[in-house]
Amino acid sequence: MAARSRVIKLKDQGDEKYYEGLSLLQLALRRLRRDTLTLIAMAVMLILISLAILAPVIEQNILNVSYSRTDPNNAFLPPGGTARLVYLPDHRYRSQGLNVVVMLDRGAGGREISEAHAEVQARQLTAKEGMANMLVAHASFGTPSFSVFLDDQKRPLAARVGVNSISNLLEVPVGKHTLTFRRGTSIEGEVLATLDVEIAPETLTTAVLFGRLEGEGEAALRAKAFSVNSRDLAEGTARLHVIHTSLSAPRAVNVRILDRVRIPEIQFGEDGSAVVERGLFTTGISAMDARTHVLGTDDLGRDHLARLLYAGQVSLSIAFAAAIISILIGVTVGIIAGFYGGLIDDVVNLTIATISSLPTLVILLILVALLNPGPEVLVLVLGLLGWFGVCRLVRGETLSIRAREYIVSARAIGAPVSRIMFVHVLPNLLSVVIVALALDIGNLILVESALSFLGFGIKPPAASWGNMLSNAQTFFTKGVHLVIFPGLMISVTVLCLYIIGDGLRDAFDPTLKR
Amino acid sequence: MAKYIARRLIQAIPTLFLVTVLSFMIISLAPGGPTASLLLNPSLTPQDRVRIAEQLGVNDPWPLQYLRWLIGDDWEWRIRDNSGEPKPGNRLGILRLDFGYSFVANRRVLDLFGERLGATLELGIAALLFALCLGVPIGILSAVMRGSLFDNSMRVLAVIINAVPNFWLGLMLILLFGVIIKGPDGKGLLPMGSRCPTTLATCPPLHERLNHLLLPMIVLGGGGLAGYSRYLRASMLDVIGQDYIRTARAKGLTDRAVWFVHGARNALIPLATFLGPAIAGVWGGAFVTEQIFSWPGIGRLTLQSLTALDYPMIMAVTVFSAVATILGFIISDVLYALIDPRIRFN
Repeated sequence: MAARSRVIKLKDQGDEKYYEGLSLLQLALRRLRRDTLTLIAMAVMLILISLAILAPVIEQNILNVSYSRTDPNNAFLPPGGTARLVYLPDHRYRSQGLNVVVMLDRGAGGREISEAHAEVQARQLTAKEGMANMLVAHASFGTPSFSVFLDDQKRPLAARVGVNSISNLLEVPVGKHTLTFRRGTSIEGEVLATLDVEIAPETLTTAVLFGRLEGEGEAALRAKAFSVNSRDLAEGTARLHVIHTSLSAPRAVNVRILDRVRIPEIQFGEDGSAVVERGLFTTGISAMDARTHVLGTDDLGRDHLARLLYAGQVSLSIAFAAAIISILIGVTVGIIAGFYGGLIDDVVNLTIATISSLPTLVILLILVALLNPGPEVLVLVLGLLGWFGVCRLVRGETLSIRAREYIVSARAIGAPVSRIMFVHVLPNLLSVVIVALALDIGNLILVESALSFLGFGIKPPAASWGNMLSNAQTFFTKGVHLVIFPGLMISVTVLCLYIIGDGLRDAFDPTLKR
Repeated sequence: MAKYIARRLIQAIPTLFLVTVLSFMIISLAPGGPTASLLLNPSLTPQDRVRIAEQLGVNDPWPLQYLRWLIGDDWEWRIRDNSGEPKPGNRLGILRLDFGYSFVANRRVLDLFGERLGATLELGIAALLFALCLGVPIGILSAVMRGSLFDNSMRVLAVIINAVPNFWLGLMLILLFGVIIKGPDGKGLLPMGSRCPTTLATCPPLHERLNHLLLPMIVLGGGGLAGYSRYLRASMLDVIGQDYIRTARAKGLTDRAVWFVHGARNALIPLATFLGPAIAGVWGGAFVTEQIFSWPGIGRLTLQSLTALDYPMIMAVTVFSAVATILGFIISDVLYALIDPRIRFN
């Protein structure tokens, strides 16, 4: 214990401090100017931060991400057209469920989505286990396509069935659209699901509505999408993607689009059925391609670079905010403990000693898992658990400053305690605090990414560098780029912050000989 | 010496007490409380719920609940059986090593821990040894060759290892050795994860087990490796400026003897203080490492419990990890005092 709590050695702030009458800060800047490595690290950090801030602008203007990618698995249907899906006779099972995923295509405008909301109405479900539930997720920034996705996941799909899914991909202008699915044992089946997609004029990218209907009979599945808070959406397109993939689905499925909408090219099978392979999501990953997606796309077909930038926003701002909270607490408690000493100091020391002897990461993990916090609370938790190191540093430094002549003389002329603290002690702590801040941010980025990676920090669909790696192992064969870049971003950022911290420490240390 | 150890142990008691209070409070703070997942079970009737809630005592004030958790409830004649007769509780409390039953597995928490302990210990000890066996020589050599290419590259490497998140390092290693580089059998050179399966009847050959252990060990030990090498370098440079080193040189000893016999032996002393933090580090890192490599240890068990909100497990993990870390700190302090008498009398 003794060696761990080494008191920070009193720095001998010798003659150089007064060299040419420069203040400590000016002197530090002067030293910093000669430290190329730190300057490079600072430049890289600046670039990263500005990239993160400008993410929406970059996504829309520079990346010019166009999501009009034609997926070989998507078939297009004319307005009002029907597609027939014929199953083999051996596979005449009762439908077990219907999953609908709605994703909104990109459009011009802002990116904030205040609300994405969906409802499922199950009407006249006659089946015993009839139930419907809908999960609304927000598919995050840079989501490419707005699709409706019907899926039955309960039954495994036999590979020998040729045509087993139907897809309906259409472009819809902003407005309200209805999509009706018909099903039945014959071609004129009953309505299985009605899908209302309402796209408000101010809509923008990214929301996933995910619905599931179970049971037989008539049901309506309404997905009311997107009350979205965003900037003007003068124009934009949304794409509905309908896929029904199920062996247990009815023998024929009719898909009818009630709207007259502009439809791109269309591909049909011989008998008018759309030939689609199963698995929209599994083929979403596309490799890096300088013309379309510079860093490829992820498993949901979202532009990887755009997501990296948005993730940078999240990761950096959480680390910055948490670091500032922890520094504020640490400095306050440290100054008070170091300045007053006595009982306060003992209590603070005991607290710090107790908590430092706990495995902080484990405690943090448990806390975050139980509280299930949003980003704001996560920042608070990280900040509140991270101030002990800074506090120890500041306390030691304050102890040594307190004994200096200028403090003694300030006391002697009767300066109030508050003035001594703020005018005489605090400015002298500046170097310690700035260095600690840089290192803290780096550590917090690591901690946050680890938490998010484990699924307890920032939850998808919001992107953070950590949670982008959550499913990384499944990408090993399909898209290595998805594994490499998020980790690289974390490493580079943290490395830069460490270098900056070290460089600043050297710059602020007047006794350091070069 | 005995007095010193006794003092350190007594000092740990309030810390441990605080830990139990803290972990109990964390659990109580959680939305719904510890029994939410149990009571929300849809197959329970309302009467069942009331009965279970009463049995668990969730409506009692929390100091009482805490006490029951700590020392059990067999002293209380609280629960009524079917005939209405009160009978003593059956919990012994964590002080008597009764951590209750897991909600999910419905088995004793301690048993579940016992099954996983071996895997975690295997990985943890391997990682510590890996970090020590590589970190110490690197640190010593860096100090001896101060300013050389080796020294500088090792220092840069240490900073880089610290900056790289260990889960990503793990993923990259799996990608490299499990997917990209192919072994003679056409599969990945090393397994992509999981511990080598052992049964009572057959113990796989050592090299097979090492194959499985290698990558997780590197990932878990990486941080320690960087730490030890940096620490030992500083410690060596510290020692080498001491008077007795000058004496050794003045006596005409060879450089090699001065560095490796007189210098390194003394520089190793502060390493004893690293045991506590090392245990904390390995324990924290085990969560991530075990998750990536599907290592069937306590870290992975804990993550599963956290996802499933298996409160008895979570509470036990909190207490266990605190006890392990505090014990690590005490052992390292005692070791330090044992090696370096100056500490004891300070």
